[in-house]
Amino acid sequence: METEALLSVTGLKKYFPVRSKMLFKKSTTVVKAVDGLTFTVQSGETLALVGESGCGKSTTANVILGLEKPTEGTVFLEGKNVHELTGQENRTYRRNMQAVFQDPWSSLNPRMKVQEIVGEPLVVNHKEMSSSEVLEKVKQVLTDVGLDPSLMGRYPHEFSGGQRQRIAVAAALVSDPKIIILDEPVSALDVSIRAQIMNMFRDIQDKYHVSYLLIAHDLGTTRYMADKIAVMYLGNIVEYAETEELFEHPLHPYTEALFSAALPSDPDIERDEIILTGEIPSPINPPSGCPFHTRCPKKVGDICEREYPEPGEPTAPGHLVSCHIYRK
Amino acid sequence: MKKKPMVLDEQPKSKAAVVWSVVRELPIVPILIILIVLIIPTIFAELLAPHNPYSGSLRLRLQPPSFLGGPEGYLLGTDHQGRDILSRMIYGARISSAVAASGILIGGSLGIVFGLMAGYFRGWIDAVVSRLVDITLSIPIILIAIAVATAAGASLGVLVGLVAYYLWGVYTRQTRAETLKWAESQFVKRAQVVGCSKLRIMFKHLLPNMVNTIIVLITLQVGFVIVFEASLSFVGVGVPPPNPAWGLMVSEGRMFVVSAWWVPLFPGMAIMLTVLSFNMLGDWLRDKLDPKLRQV
Repeated sequence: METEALLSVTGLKKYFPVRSKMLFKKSTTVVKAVDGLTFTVQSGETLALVGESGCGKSTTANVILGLEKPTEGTVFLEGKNVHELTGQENRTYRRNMQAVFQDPWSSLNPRMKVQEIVGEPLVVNHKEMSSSEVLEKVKQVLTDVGLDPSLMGRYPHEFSGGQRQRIAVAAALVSDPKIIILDEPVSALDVSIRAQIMNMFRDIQDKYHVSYLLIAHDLGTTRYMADKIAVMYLGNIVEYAETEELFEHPLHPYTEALFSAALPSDPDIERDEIILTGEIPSPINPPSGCPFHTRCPKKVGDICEREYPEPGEPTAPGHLVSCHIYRK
Repeated sequence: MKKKPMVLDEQPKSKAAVVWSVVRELPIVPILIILIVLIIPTIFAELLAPHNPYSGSLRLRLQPPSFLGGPEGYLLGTDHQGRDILSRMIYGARISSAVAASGILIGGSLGIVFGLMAGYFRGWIDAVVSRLVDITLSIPIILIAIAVATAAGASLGVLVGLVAYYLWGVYTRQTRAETLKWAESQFVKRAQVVGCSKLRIMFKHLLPNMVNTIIVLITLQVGFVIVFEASLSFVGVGVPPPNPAWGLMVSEGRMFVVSAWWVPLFPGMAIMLTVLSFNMLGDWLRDKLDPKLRQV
């Protein structure tokens, strides 16, 4: 039995208008960045959104974080619609939802000390806390992310990329959030320190019992960190399953192609590489029917161009796939 | 062939050496000129000026500098009312720096606030502010100055207002451009996620990152304001006489440029030296603080 989800996203759509301004006529077309996403994140688990660049992962993150309003659909955090909050409720939501961004070089204000950066969520949302309480809490989270609290009077430029990402995580943790959106949290880091940072994320999850929504294009990261994975293509989720299930039995042709594109650990392993032909179609004018049909190596027939494949569970419960192959 | 061994660890520098390495870098000459010509006279005018700058003796009018055979005690000579030119220049420094400081303070603050708003809110605010700036900068300032001074009369307040009016547009443009740049950065996005108010984002996150640019802009404009004040005084709408202001002194002295060249020359030199020094200082600061800022 599943309890009420911590984060639940229903039918989320985000269209951006593209105005082509001509002198006399204004034609308005839209980019369908996110085209109907539905998923939930349970308390304490990690869901990964995976897909190539331009598939709408980051837009999804922005909408969930309240930076942009959805065109359609809803985002509920603990039963409250995040786009209709005001006042105290909004402050509570800001405390419960935090984010860590991709680039640790630009995500920390170069003119603020570490203690100001990390303490800011408390200063803004916990106005009842005294400055010494804030400082105590800052010290504690800095220790938890593996940094020496005595460095908190320094400025971000005095730290390395990995350390900066730890600072960003500390700033996200300081208000005891329920969920943290990790937007490509390790892809800007050197490979050598990725593992450390990923371990830190897992330790933190154990200690704080926080959920992660991980946005990534790197399969290694997702396999290591995620409990469940949603594979995105052109603003749609094409496959959704538990991590091991997905890696053992990928069903959607796009998922298979993604896995096949990732390099194996042993170069001598014989493998059938699936190479997708063509570009990712433009989201201004997405293909009819199944969005993947233009590049799909396993196209069934006309139905792929005509009809959007409703998600089904052809093999195992909880393993959803949107593909006509499995709908016969 | 013998190679010198590479020295990796240099001797730790002493404190004096550190201070010297900073001092050596400073543009000493312009700073000294600014100190001598502008800042020290501004602060210590009462102590430094040998004579009263407002009243002179008509018996001593248009006397040459004392080193050219003029009367004792009038180092740079006297003007057409017999006032000591050096004393007037010393008090004039005070007026020039007061006009520059208050004009830049008012115009700069306005410009920064408008620039932040235009760059951060975008939309109609940006459209209105940007067009206003365009309009401000496209009307010849001398025309406005003459109109305003005729209508309201020349006074220090009007002069400061004119300086602020002319400067705010420049600050607005610069701040707006910087805001547009920084508003895209991830730390601003993070601040939004955290729930910072717009005011906090503008003044706590965006503004501190523009300090370099603004300091450079101010330095480059001090010189401009002094020239501006001089030109307005020259056309008769600046500092009202008998106040000693450098531009006014040049303008009053132009009648005697043939017979008593020292009357306009020395204040003119003070203007030139100050402006030149501020421009050099500004150039140096710009290279030090923000190499990206090449065209201001």
